[in-house]
Amino acid sequence: MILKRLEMNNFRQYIGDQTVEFSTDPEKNVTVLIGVNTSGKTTIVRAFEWCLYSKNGFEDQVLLNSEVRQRMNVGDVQETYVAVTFIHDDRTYTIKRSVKYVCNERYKDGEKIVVNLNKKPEETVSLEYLQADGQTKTPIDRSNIAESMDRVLPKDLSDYFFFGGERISGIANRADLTKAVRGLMRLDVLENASTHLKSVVKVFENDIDTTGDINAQRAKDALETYNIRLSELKNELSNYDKEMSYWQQQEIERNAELAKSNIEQVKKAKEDRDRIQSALESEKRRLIAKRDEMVRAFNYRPYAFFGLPAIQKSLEFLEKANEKAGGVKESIPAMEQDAVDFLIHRGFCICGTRLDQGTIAYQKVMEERRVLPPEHVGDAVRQYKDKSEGYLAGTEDYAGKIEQLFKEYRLIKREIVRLENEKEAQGQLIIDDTDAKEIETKRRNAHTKYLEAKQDYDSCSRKIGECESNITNCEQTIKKYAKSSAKNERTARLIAYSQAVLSWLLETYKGKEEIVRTELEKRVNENFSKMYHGVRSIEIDEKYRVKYSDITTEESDGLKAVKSFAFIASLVSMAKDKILDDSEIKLGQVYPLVMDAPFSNVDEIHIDNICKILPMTANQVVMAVMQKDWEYAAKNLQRYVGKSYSIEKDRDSEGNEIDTSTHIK
Amino acid sequence: MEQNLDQKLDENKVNVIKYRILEMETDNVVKKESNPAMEDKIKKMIITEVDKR
Amino acid sequence: MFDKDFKITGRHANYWKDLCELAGNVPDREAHNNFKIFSAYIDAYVLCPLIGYQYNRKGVLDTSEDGNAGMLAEVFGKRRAELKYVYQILMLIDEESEPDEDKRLFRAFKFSEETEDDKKLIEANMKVFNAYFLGGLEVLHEQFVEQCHDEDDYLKAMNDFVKHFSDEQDGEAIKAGIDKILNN
Repeated sequence: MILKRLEMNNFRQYIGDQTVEFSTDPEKNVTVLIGVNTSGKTTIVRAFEWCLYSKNGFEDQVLLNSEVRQRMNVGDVQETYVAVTFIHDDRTYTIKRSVKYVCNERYKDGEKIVVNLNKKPEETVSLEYLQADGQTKTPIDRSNIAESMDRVLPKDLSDYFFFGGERISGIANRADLTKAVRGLMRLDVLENASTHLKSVVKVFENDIDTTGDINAQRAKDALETYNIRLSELKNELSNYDKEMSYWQQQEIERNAELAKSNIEQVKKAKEDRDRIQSALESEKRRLIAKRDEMVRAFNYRPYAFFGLPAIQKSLEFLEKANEKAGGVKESIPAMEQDAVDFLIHRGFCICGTRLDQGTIAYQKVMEERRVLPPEHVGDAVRQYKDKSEGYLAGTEDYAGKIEQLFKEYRLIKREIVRLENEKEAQGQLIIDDTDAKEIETKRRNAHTKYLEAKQDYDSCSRKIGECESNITNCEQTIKKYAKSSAKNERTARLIAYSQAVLSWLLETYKGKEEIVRTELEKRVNENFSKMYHGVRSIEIDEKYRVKYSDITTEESDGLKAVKSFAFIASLVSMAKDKILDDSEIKLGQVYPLVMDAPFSNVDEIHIDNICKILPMTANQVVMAVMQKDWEYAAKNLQRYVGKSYSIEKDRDSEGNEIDTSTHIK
Repeated sequence: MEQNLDQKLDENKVNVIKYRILEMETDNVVKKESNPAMEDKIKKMIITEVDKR
Repeated sequence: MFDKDFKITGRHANYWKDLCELAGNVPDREAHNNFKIFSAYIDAYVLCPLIGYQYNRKGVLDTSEDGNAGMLAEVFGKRRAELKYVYQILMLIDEESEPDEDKRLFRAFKFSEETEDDKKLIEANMKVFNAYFLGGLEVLHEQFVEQCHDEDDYLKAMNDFVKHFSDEQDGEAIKAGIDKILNN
């Protein structure tokens, strides 16, 4: 979607007919609307939202210009409309939404004239596109308009392309961006497919007729119970997750408060503690890894180590038995007496010769039998020795390895204790200061609460794991039964195919999501480092939340905005590049970025940096900015600006601005 | 034992089902049919494809 | 051999659960949430018979307490070769269950279950194997679960257990060396 024109008629403070043509030049893809603070920049973004998606974001829901409204008499009808012309897939569309107001009442209240309008004004919308001749307009059926717009730019995602300055800094901190990212990257197709197919599998499983088999029936009943339990647990888990985020946020905020404290000592102590904390966390991770490594080492062929005396004894015993039997004689490898007994019992040899007692063939075979294990031990000994060597190989230093790992484990442990003591000492420093004392107590409390929530979360996760494996067990039992019953065979086949496809879907989804996340992280970091002068490394978590990978300290609004810009710019650039586009799934589009007051709260250096990035990341940028912000931004943006407007209010005879009469020039 | 049936799966058939379900879901990004409706559609499609020779 | 579901009950079942990471359907998981030295039941099942032998400990199922643990036959699959090897070791050297050397030799290499006699023999052998398995569970339970409270304890016990065993081996080697000198 590339925006071509915005037309507003008596829309809010914009009186009369106002038209803005946007730059569609790919080289100069920026359009700026420069205005004073309250000149109606936000209205532009809202005009788009209303026209495209019927979203009315105004506190006062009446869209009609107040001046026009004031002039209405009872029975008068006035229309306000917004029309957006855009290009999508090489076609030019115009969407026009209008609403008709009827005046119901008009009276004087002291000096004021009150005009009341009908409560539910009629809203109409039309969408048409231009034929190749550039003249003929073809309308799209009204019932299909919402669907068509969703195809152009999904409503759910519109927030990320049309936004006001006050919303910008919040974007990268939103609780869950999963939906938006999935939608943009078209991961939703895979996700929905998995969700639907999962239900289908359940339907198939219920189709299996288990009457007549108690175990299968029991498994089926249990399956139902476990499924209910699972969804309960998942609910619980998401609550714990929210709790965790809440307390973590609390702790971060308290930390930030501590950092704001003017007392240098407190500040330093806090910095030190953060540093210690991050070292501590990394040591704890190391400790867990070392522990696991040690358990793995313990589990690597322990029988070869603990069995060594027994193995030695057995080898000595075999050696002795071998000598007794007269040493090693050649025999058929890997063959035992049982095999010959079988041939004799069957009555004919592998080659077909009959093996009747007394024949030469019989005698030859019996001769062979005598040198085979277990009666003849030569071969058995050799085989057993080989086997022993095989098992013993690589375990020679079993004890040494365990000892080494344990030493390393203890070293890490000691370091953790040291760091914890150090942290405690730093905490004391903070507490010494009376101002910070209360904050510190709150911080500690938040931290404890967080740990509690995390414990609940972990335990709930474990329960989910158990529940899931119970479900798998039940499903297998049912499956086993299904296969044994002829009439269920077809259903079993349906399940087998569905499950094969389901696991493919889940795997593919996981893979693609990983690609998206990694790429997004990479780009956010790239963009962030271009926009931000300091060094900060950014992580994208599993919910696409943007986090600093070091300990979060105070985050100014400006920094938040930079982070959000980095995020949005990366998201848009990924949609532009069609990261996941392959033959399987169609992804990605061309998107505009419409922003209102994007630079409020952002300092000059960052405005500078952001401006360098934006025109390159989005296909089209439309921004409404304040005059003073534009002065900074212009340095970098000017060469990308294709069209420029100013938003101005009319002035009355005394030179005062008229709020209800704004023009775009 | 568990795997015997899985091994008998016709790979081509599995791929056809994969493809169909992706097509259906891609369409549905815009159509936004309800979950039960989609599940029913998918169920029917799988039955058709599996029963096919 | 090692191709049927395997289950034990009573006290030893609880020991087994205390020693191994639990997977799948375990209703009393909470009662066994201590640190685990084995990744799975099968790991303990391969090692414990040798521990039982080395510590000269045979166990008898004791149902004075409730307990239930087991493995499906499928689990044996990849580990069957190891199990057979451990089984062979024990069959060769356990004089207590079979003093006659020739018979020990015979039973260690007898794997087919063609005849009734074969079946009976292997059944008797498996009893020996499993008795040592239970004994091994007892030893490890005493060495680890009964003495450890937290992860640190377990890791220390793991280190000590291995080290002691290793030292003892050296001790035996030294003794063998002394014997050799004296007898020559």
